[in-house]
Amino acid sequence: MLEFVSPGWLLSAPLLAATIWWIHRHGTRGRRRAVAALFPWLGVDRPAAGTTRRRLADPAWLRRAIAVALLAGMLAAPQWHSDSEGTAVVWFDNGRSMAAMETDGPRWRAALHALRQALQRRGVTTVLPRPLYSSSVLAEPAGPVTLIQLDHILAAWFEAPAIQGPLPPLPLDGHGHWLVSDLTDPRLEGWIRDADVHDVVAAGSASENAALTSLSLRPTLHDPGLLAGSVVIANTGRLQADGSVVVRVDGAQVFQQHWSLTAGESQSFAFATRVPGGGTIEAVLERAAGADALPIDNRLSLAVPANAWRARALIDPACSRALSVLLEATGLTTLVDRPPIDLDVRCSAVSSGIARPTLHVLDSGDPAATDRVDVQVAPDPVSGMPQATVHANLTATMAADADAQRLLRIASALGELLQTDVRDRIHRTENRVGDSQLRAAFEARPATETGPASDATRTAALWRWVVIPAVALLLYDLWRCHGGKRDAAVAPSPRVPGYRT
Amino acid sequence: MDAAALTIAAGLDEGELRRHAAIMARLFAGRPLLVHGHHPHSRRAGDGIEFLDHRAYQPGDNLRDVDWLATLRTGRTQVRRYRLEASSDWTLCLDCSASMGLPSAAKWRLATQLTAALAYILIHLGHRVRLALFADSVRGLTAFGRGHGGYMAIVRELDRNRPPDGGGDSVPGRCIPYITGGGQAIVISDFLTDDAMHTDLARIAARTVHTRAIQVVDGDDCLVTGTGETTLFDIESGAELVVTVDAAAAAAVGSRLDQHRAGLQRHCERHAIGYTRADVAQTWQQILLDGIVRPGTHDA
Repeated sequence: MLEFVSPGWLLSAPLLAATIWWIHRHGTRGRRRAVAALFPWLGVDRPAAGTTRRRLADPAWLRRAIAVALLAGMLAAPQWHSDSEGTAVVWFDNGRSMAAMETDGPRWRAALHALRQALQRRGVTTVLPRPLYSSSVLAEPAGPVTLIQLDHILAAWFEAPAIQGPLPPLPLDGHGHWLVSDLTDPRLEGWIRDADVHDVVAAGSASENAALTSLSLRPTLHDPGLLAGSVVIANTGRLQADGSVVVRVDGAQVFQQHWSLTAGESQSFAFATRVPGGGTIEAVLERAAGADALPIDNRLSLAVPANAWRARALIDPACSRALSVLLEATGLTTLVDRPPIDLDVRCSAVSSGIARPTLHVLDSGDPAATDRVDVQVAPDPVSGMPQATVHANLTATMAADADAQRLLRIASALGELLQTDVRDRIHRTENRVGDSQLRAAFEARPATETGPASDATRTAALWRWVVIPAVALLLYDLWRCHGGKRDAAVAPSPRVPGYRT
Repeated sequence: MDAAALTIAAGLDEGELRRHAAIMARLFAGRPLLVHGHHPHSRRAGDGIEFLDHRAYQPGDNLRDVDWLATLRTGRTQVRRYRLEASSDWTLCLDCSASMGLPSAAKWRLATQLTAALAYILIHLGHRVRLALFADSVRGLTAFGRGHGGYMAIVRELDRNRPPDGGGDSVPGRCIPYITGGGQAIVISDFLTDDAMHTDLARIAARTVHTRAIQVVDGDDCLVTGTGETTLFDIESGAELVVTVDAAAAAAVGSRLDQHRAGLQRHCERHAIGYTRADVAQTWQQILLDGIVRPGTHDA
């Protein structure tokens, strides 16, 4: 199927052709030729005036119009692709790091350019784009799209880049899957290795980036009106970075701290504030202009309701009292004994039968694991709801109940769990910017140079044979208009030698 | 003179010119140069070949000049006197109008070659030569000169001028003020005007003891490439004419040009003007030897 990148040029072709015809019809009739003298032509058959007006002035108009139309067609940039060619499934990293500004534009545009080149080398002309990270605002195309359409789709995607959430299921369907990413998500290495990924197009070179990776709030145990907050800053670039972090509640500054981090280092800052009537708490990294490749991750905000929302948790009777106390102490849950619920906490194999995020709490019983709370999250294979498994020594944890810092860690872990489903109602927000290594572009499987000719190559060859005759026609006309031999009519006079007698 | 300066791209070199000048000097021995029935030289006695008259022997006269028959007839020793072959003034009138650049550069190239060669030979033979380049006015002029200086002045003038891209006219009569009365003139042109410059040629001939017309001819004169309806315009006057170009028309134009040349030739005959046809297919050497030095070959 033939497509045009700039179809507007096609409209200009008939207009130009009509203009050329008009000029030839109403302009000077016939060719103009210079002669040394006219008198030998006097009496030679002259065209009758009537017939001259009726006929086309010069048949050359058609030749010239064709040439101009061909050139207009070339400017329309036709691209040929056939439906018989394979369609590649392209997993496009729609994470925020792909929105980083490189020297010549956003990183995702550079990646798209590299993808186009790679696909054209392989003769692939249509792709089925898939976002690497799911997002509620993404509009995924229903069917294959051309490389030209892909540009518009990605532009829409990157109006609101997603955070690096769960990776999609491994593509193992035997099709040629492509991955386009800056590979800042460390999980991608395993994903690429295990999945049936045909090629990886990696992009990204900018490395100066610091990010706010987390902003969280929780009520304190001793004063529920006082919110204990935490911001985490990470230097994901390659050089030393510094700046200041400012926290504002509804525009009023409540916290400011200068920070300086080496490459790969991260730092957490704690603060406390009150938001009695609810509001928006915002953390901002303030840095020198142009010092940050990805400004989008320098800001986090959190909406705090007037009455802090608590997830309704149905707790398994088999759970210990200590767990109930812990869950309430986090300030994130309210224990209920009947639906509706937001969280199902199970400590035994008995299921409540309610399709809700489930928290499996396994008491390790290891007295040594006093400071360790591990949370593992995985979707339920049947309901798709997230399930978390917490390995904790609850007795030991309760023993340190008064330790606010420890509780904060536990709350953060639970918050991370809850975020998987109800992130918009949790006092926690975060940026996921990946590791500090923003790797340079590479291709896992470089395209072979000796592959079959792609459609793009064939198209280029086709249009070369269109342009060459068009230019040749115009040059021929130019030569004829100039009168051919007239070119050499006025040549320098001969130089003659000196004379000696 | 250095060797590099003797070699020229147009096919002229000094050695060849000198050889031609020598040949012509021999050919001209015993008869006036280019003259039929006229007396281009002064009628003073002096060194020469052509017999002038007798006078009484005077001491110091060369005994070889004693005419013994006249001595016996008159009873006094008579010596032969010869006509002084002193130099005469030659004006080379070269047409540098726009038509000389059509249909190709060959016409102008041949015209300048002929002009330079004639200038060289005439100077070599001891004449004074001047160049007048004319179109609708005199575009270039040199003083009468001899020797290397005179020749180089002509060469420089030739090098400075060339046919323009258009406009102008061909009026050889503009050269008349610069032609010495009693001198000689050579008009080099394509003579492609309606009247073939008859009037001006006659006026020039009336002022000189001898005039020669060299018509530079190109087989493609006034013809155009291609066929079909064509707007022709005169390179000089700019006048336009819409014609249908085909083989028949081209043949008619060729025939008309032949008639035009024949008319010029007849005109030259009537006014005792030498006529030479110089076709661009020929070399300047052929034209000089066949058309000028051997009178009658192409002469009127």
